[in-house]
Amino acid sequence: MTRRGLLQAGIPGAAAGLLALTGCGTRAAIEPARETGVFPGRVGVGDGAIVAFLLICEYLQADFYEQAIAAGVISGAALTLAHAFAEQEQEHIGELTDVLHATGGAAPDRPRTHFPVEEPQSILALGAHIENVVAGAYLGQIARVREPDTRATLVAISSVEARHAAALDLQVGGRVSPRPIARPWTAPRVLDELRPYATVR
Amino acid sequence: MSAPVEIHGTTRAAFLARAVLAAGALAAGPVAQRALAQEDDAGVVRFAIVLEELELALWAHGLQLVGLGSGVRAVVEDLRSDEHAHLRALRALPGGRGGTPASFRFGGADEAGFLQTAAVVEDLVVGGYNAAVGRARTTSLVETLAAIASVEGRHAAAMRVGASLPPAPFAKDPARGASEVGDVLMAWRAPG
Repeated sequence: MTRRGLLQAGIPGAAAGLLALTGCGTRAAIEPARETGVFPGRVGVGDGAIVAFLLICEYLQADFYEQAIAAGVISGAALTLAHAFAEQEQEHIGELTDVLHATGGAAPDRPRTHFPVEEPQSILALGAHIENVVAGAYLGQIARVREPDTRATLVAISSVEARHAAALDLQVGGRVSPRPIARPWTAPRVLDELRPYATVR
Repeated sequence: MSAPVEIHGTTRAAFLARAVLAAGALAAGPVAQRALAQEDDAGVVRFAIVLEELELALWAHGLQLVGLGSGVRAVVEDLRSDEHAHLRALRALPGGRGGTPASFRFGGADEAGFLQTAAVVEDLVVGGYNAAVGRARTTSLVETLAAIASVEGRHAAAMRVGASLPPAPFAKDPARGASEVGDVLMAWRAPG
């Protein structure tokens, strides 16, 4: 499956949701994003679009833990963490969905996903990677949010994603914190990292 | 300013204070209280600096413990290095220079007690930073504080794991505003 194929078949439903939230939800507006692979550059326009983007990240995280647990190959502390984090990602989905509804927005389409969850160590490594990406995704958006309550919600979730990342990094022998001051990730970079796990509908 | 949160019949501030006092912590409070009273960005920066001073005192205490294992010691040294970087970043911001550093003292002489104290302190710091992000007015300060809060979240998770606690106790880290943090810091007031 090529990157373009993934773009056309996987997350675009979510992209359409994001573009619709920003008032650009026509087919003509969506096509260029598919063609160039720039996911969508309009993510930062408006609190609703930002929350929708982060909701996509949360969908992917929740799916990852669900698939990791269902695979039945992790146990002990790793399984305990997976269950706890899965529950918290679901709570994040609920929080962000509530924010969207409160502001008159709609949740984006939920992409289908597939994560490689065959082997315990690779599951943990992938989990750590995804958590680090999403922690960076939140940092990339917090300062762009205008509504104080929405910002407070994102900040409160952001540090939890960082906790998840650190716990999984420790599970795979990584450092508590890769750098003293965390780096924000742009939305396109985040989506580039997550796109490989979106599948054909 | 958020109302104190009830935890089993007490406020979170009192709960935290008791938890840390049980581990033998003492601290100075007046400097922190003054910083916490300021509502502008300079006050937010001072507030964050007090949090960093609290952490640096904690790590210094931990590194003096004879019974600290080599693995924990290595992590604490890393975290101390992070706090120094935070402090440098904060002192470079408007309002970050001047003022009398707050001083804190911690009791407790074994690794288990230290890790429990560290978990409580780091959770407090995460909440403090999250509240600070909400108070900050300039975009650059929001970005800096959020980036540090993220790292503090990682520290908190590590200390909680070390203390055999879940790394993330809640789906959302509650913001702990100036009055709540101030209550806790004042409860640790050092004599003199």
